[in-house]
Amino acid sequence: MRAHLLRRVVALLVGIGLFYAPLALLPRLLVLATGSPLIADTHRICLRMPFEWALQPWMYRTMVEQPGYLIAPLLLPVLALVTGPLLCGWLCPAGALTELLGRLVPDRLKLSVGGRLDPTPVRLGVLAGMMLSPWLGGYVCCTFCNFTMMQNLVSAAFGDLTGLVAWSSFGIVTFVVWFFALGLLVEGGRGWCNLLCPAGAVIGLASALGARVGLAPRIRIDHEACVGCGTCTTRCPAWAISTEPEVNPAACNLCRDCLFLCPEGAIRQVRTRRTGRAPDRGRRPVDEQARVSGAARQLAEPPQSAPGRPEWRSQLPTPGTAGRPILALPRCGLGE
Amino acid sequence: MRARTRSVLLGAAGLVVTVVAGRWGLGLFTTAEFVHFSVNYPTLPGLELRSMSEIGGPWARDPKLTRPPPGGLLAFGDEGEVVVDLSRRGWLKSLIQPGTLLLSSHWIRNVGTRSRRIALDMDLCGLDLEWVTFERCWDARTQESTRVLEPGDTYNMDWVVRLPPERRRQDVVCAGRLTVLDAEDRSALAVLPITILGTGGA
Repeated sequence: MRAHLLRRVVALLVGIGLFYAPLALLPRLLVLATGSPLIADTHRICLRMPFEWALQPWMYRTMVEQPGYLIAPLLLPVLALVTGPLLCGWLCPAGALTELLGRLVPDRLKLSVGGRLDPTPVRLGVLAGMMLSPWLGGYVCCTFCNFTMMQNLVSAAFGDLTGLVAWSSFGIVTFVVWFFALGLLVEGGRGWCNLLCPAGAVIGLASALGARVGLAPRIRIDHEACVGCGTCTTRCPAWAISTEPEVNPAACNLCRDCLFLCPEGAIRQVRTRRTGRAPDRGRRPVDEQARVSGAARQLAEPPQSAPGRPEWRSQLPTPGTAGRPILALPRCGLGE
Repeated sequence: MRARTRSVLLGAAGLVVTVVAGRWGLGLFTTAEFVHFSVNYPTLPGLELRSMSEIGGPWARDPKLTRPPPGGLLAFGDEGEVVVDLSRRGWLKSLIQPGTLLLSSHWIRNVGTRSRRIALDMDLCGLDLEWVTFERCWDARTQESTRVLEPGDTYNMDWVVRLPPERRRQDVVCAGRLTVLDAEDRSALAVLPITILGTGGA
């Protein structure tokens, strides 16, 4: 788990380098490719405005003239169709920052949401609200933007305080909700991503579609091996695992935390066509008592420190082709 | 069925909260705290303009507009002037940063038929201003664009305005204006009135 966490931290740093000034490698590439006269920062690849413009045909020409605006509605869903939600789970710094910092906050201070609320309908409702908002006398995309807030924080860390000079009431609300109320103070630290991110909603739908047809990888639970402890349900940062437990592919961000948290090694990542609902044989619904104790056990005893447990790394199979597990842990019944 | 009903209700809740938040945000966005507006140039008489359909962008949405106004509040506000009302600011802003106001235009747009290099002159009654821009081609000393803007091109500029307490309490803090100039001959191309209303002692 430590190595996995380290990879997540590295991914956060890579994401900051890719999206945010002063490095902003992707915006820089876009500026270079399009000859844009604007400075390279995260605003060149806006993940919000294009969705609001979807129902404003007079803005289509602007999107074509400034191709950075086409990335969120076109390129990201196509990528997600094939790769799954890698942007959400691994590269998006705005989500990863609160998730990783949230791990430092004691669990007793956090609200546990996983398994109690399916975030997908809320997020789709927010996306629909964003698209309809201009027609109903509102404006959401720039007023509640955690991506801009993240850029302001990154710039401040590099000594440029311009973004923090002039706050607005909605900026303050965005910061408090994104960073604290739905960040550090909820289990998983990604409440904003799970409920309020329009790009996440579209990427989630594309990923779910990709997983359904066998293009994108997805997370699968082996119900024969699952003992229903509820650890995955409780600890999933994306709140994507129900109490049954089943993985909601439209909410899962493919962070793969569950693979390392499951004490039974019953969860794996596969790239295979979904053929319908898994058989009920052997399914063990999450018992509330076991769920709490399982989560508590995970806190007290991370799986990698359990005595006698074989080193899972040495048992990793070769990355598989379609229909075979990409990553399998011991006791999955695969690769043994 | 129950799960589906629950999903529909959750989705509806997300939609309603978003629209309500958007309405609250727009009220502050256009009038009080983080005021975004459009600027069109040239709009002074005697200069040749593109047609409204050629201009496109937010202005093409309004069939009442037969020629571009000098600018105005961008998001579904009144065109032709900018009015900032400090008494409409949210309590969070009033509490945390009462002394700053952000004026912003990412739509300083060439609606004429000629390519131009522009200069900007912001007159805000002597208030302390900080100029901030996403543009790489900007000469802060002369306040001129260092690139030529083709017809239809946009330019952007933000102004962080410092408001001393005694000025904030006035009825009218400033009746100022933004002038877009031709950088070559310094002739005015557009004048956009900007009025900042104070709290009037409230």
